[in-house]
Amino acid sequence: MTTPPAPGLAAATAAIFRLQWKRLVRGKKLRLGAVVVALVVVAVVIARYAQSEAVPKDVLRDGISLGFFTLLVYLIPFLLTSGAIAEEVEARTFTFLASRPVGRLAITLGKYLAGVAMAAGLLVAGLLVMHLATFLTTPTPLFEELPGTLRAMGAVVLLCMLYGAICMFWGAVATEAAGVVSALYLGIVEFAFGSLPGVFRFVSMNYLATQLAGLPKGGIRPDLVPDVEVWVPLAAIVPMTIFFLIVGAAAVAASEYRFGKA
Amino acid sequence: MTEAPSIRAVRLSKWYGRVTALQDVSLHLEQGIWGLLGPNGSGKTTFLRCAAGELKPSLGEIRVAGEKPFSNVRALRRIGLCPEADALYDDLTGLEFVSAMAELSGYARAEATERAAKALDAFGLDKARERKIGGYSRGMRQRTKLAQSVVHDPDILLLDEPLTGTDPTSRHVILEQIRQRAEDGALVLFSTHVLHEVETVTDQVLLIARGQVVAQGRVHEIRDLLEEHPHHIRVACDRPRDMAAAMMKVEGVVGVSFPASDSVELATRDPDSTYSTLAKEAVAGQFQVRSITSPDASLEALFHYLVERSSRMAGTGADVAVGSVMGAQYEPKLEPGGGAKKRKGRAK
Repeated sequence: MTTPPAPGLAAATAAIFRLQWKRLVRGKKLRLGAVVVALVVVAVVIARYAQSEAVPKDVLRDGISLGFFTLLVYLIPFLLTSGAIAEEVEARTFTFLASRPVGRLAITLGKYLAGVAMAAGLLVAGLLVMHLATFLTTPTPLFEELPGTLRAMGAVVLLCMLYGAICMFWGAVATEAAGVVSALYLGIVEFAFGSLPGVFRFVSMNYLATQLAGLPKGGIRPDLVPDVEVWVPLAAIVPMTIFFLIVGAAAVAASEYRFGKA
Repeated sequence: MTEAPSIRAVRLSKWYGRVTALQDVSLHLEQGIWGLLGPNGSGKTTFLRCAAGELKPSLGEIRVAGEKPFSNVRALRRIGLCPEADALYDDLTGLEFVSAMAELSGYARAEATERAAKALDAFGLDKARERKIGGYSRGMRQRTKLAQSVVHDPDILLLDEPLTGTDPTSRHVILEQIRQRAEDGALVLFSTHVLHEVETVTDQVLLIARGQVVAQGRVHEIRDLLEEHPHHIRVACDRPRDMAAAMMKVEGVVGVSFPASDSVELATRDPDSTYSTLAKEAVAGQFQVRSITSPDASLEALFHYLVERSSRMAGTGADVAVGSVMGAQYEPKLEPGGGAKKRKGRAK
């Protein structure tokens, strides 16, 4: 018997990442996500060219705000990460991972990174295509507006990381209702609080990310919402992401995930 | 220095809410093949999952190669688990799946692929390894699960109903692999509810029922117990009393009863001979036999018998032939009459 030494955290995380990536690429969720992103991009491009008086810059900004920050940035990470643990437990395939000498932290991290990388890739690609298509006939703003789009991309990636961690967390602690609980959390804490007036809006990381992207405040009585410095979203979203990841990983590490019979 | 492959449970109990899955199980297994025999729902899977580090004991302790296995990479690197559930990554090919499992066991990608191919070949899946698992037959899926369990060359193999859904050819391949692994020095513990499956690869068995190890020993000892415990055969025929009279003369038949006006139930210590004579008597006596059934699958009946017997005799010192052996009194070698001690009875 020549059993190899157990893989280190990095190697184990990479192996889980590759496995999860491969499964996502072949699954229906990625295709569904790509279709939804494409629909949003196409809708914005149609809006841009259908109205002769439309200002391309404004159409792009509204498209980013409504299409990405109000819809896709919730939906895509949710699709690709909420079932990462829960679906494996329910399908009884989690046992193949849990019985390997990889440590459950690596399982959580590998799955999280694969889901977030794919979600972020989809959204960034969507934003890029939308930007190019919007300014296709006007080369000057194509470059002038690029920094704004890049900021939006950065904010979207940050939110992907956070929402991926939130969905992983709920998937780990509430495996049988991972989707519902994740959706409720995102709907109430992130979406609903993001529209409230005053300081309540700071509960929503989505709102902070829109400020990082330089988008208008929107929501109810935006005039009552204090302005934020650029560092505030970063200082809030990054620790929140780490917090949800750590608690999610701890839940995976401690849980028995017993779906077997006696 | 690496500890020899072993599984040691000391007063291991596991419950899910109010359901007790394992109760006070103590045992020590070393290198070789061990059959874990028990009816469905007896606790076999729970025991294997505790040993595989998926479940934490509610009480007591389990150690695999000297380590507590739950989420413990030192123990897990030595364990190969073939779970019972027919659940696999259907969107991957057999080679991709087993390679991924090898990678997770610590091999570099190229070596993992090489080992995966070898493992799949060993289980007769060489021609199917590039196909998606979703298109595999039940037997192929079972062999794929087994291939992933051995791809990292573990010295402790935990196989949960490995022969379920397999055809005779697959069974032969699987049993050969089990034998080979044991010859190479592994501890193989495989669960089943069919005594015959155990007999083909080992004569060392543990009998588990209602979460307790009710007997452990060699297969022939289990056979003796089966013979000691009468097997029941129910015959529905036109003249049950005449049939009873004819069968009472047969050696091994120890009792008759009449559960209904049109049937007779025979209690026998020699089922094979009784079935054979029954057929002859039916022809000779021109009986109109409508059905011949066994109200108790003999092994199931034995489990009930052992559970009841162990709880009846608990503490009397008379239950020495059955029962798991406890803590300090434990003797690793399986000997009939291996010193069972008092246990909380759960028999009805």
